[in-house]
Amino acid sequence: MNVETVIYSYLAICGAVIIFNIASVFVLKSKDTKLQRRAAEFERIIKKCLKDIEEGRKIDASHMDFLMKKLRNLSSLTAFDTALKSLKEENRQALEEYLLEINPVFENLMGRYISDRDVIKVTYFAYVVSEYGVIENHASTRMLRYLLRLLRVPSIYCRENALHAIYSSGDEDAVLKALKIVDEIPDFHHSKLVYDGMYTFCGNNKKLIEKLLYYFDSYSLQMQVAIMDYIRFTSGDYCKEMMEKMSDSESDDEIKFCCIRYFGRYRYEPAYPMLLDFAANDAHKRWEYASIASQSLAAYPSEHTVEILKENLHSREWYVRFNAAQSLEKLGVTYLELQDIFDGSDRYAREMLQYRFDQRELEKGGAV
Amino acid sequence: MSAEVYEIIDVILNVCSVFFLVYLIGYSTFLFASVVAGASALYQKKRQERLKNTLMEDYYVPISIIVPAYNEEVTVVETVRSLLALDYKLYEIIVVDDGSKDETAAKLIEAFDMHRIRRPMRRQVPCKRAEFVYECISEKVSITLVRKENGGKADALNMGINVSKFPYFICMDADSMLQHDSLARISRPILEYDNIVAVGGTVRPVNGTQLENGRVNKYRMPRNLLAAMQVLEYDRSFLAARILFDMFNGSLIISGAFGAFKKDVVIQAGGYDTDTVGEDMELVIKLHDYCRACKMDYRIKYATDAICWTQVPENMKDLFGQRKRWHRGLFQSMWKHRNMFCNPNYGLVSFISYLYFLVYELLSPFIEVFGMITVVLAYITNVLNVGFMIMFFVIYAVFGTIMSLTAFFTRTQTVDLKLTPGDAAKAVLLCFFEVTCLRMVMAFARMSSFFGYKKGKNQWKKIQRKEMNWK
Repeated sequence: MNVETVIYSYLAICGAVIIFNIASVFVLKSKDTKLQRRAAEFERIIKKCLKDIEEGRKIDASHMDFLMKKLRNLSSLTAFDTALKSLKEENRQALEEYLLEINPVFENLMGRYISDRDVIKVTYFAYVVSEYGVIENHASTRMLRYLLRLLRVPSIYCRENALHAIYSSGDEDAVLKALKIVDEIPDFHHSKLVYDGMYTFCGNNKKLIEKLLYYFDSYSLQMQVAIMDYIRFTSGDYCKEMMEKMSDSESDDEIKFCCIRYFGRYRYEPAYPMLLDFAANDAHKRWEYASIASQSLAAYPSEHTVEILKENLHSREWYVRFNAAQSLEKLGVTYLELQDIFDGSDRYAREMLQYRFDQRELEKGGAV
Repeated sequence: MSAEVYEIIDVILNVCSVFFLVYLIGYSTFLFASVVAGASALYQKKRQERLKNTLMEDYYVPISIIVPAYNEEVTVVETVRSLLALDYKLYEIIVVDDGSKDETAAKLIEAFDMHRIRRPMRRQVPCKRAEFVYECISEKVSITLVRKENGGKADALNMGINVSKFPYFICMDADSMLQHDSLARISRPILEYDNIVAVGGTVRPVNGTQLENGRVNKYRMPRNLLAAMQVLEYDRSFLAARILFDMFNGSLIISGAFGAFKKDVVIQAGGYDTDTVGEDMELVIKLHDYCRACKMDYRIKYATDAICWTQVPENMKDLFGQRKRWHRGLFQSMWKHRNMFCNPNYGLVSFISYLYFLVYELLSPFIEVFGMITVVLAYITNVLNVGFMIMFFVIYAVFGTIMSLTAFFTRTQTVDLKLTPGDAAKAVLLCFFEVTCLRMVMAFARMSSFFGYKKGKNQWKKIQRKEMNWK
């Protein structure tokens, strides 16, 4: 290969790149214009349907056929989504009824989209299903089966959109199955996404928690922690169950940490002796026990609590000292009661406590 | 000269011509591959965004934003105000005043009604002594100001790590501004992958652009030609090389202006190195080194859509100073981690990323100057085909220009920035100058970074600051 060949090849590449640049500008612009035009058309058609609904008429079967035909196409689906977004605020109630009536369209379309090779397309369809609550409390078994299948698509976005659709169905059994699938697949799914998603569950939370606790042992540790976090931020009615898990010697440390946090949020007297025990510095157990328990003890004011927390101010672990000082401050312990620490020789304990007291002053709005 | 000498020179020139041909083909191929990979990644990302293939959380992980500042009284208050306007739920702002000689600390204390507090420090990475700490808890998120003895940017960042509360931290410059959604976008990869240790953001020059509450109000190419050329240069650099390296977990640099890090891993690796001026690059190379030595499964990602706007120098003196400092930092980082050179334990990081930075970044100014000497020598010995040389140079420059323009237009199209026809024309015209003239001048600046190397080892950058064009 001589030098000229190389030069001419690069010139050809330059030319191709210029063509690509120019073409992409026009393609993107024309796509945008088309989308706006289609969205306006959908808006007009949907508005007509909403008017029919308001006047007590059913949606025409021909409209369903029209949607079935049109929404197979991705760009039409995007336009439909754009139209629904702009109508969402205008007439929410009628739109909800409209979506309920066109539910079978989504069910049929799901069968088509799920077999598409383009994961981005499948994910988008799952988004539309979850976004407009088309299956909220009305999910058919077939639809749920499709959504559960989507959880196995190797895309975190697809999984998330499908999970949100399942949460919106309000079906506890479907959620249980979904979590089991997410737990089993080899792909990573962050526990924060799991418990954040579960908060959006549209059904009966109590029933869901009971079922989750019943099948608790069948989940992996990571999923169990996500479930525990969900319960902690949802309800304080499960102290007995948490107590059982906290006392169980077989429970993993992470589960016990979740229980300790639960009792910090929801005061439960029978748990108090165990919390004191966890808070006590013990070389044989992980320092996290003392740290988390020190934080939870802020909900249990007593002389004994203050004593343990003062002891923990001398801990070698930064977070134990930090949480102990924070809890003492939350409990409203006075400067006089902590005089021994302020006058003591442990500089670390003194500094940590001083910081909390300074912060209290700051929160009150005064200068330190 | 005797015929023998001519013969020797001829042989040398032949060897040189083969070397330069290989060098230029290598660089052009890399540039082409990276621009194509970058452009396709951005279009793919845009499609994914449009079709909701993205995580849509309120917030992802709690983040500490560390802003090291030295003599930043002009910009620091506005920077913190802009950080308070970010669309994110859980974060804190830590400003570390590295012994400024101006009113940096006083301006902050006054603007945010901050109060002095006796805050205990957890010294997990080495840094100089703190003089005082101020806090403000009346704003949307807590603001902490730490004033410390002067020790350089890396030392200030280490102090920020020691003071921070959250498991992830972001480092940024006091003269930069984060786009309103940048925290959400830079932290998304942390929830998408289980092994993220760092995420790099995209840095774009703010000169000429008007921002309001972290949103682009008006996008214009800077009037200043030097700044305008840097816009093209930044877009090429962030679109091309970084996306390509990201594809095989081979990023060797996360800009000091915007990057997110997993705090515990950075602490275990020893924090920022206070002996280098290129502490941002050094940290990333160190993370590769540390994670591979510990046989950790790790990933360093680049978030193309997490945008930080920064002021770029508008005069040659500042630009020279900046580039000299960057090149010095590059040299220090590469020298310190020279064990990575052609080392199979580092896989593609060694054989592609490290080698690329060595040949096309660190040594390129020397190679380019050597090239010029060769041309002169060839001319003297009358073996130079001037017509061919000019054609070769023009084609090479056109190629570079088109690649830069592709990067620039792809970037503006995929982030929905509206360009005026005038700005588009300006970009086309300036691109050629950037590829030819500015590149040559910068090669000289980078080469000169080795002169006076000891003297300027750990200085803070001192570019002329302007009030920022944001509301």
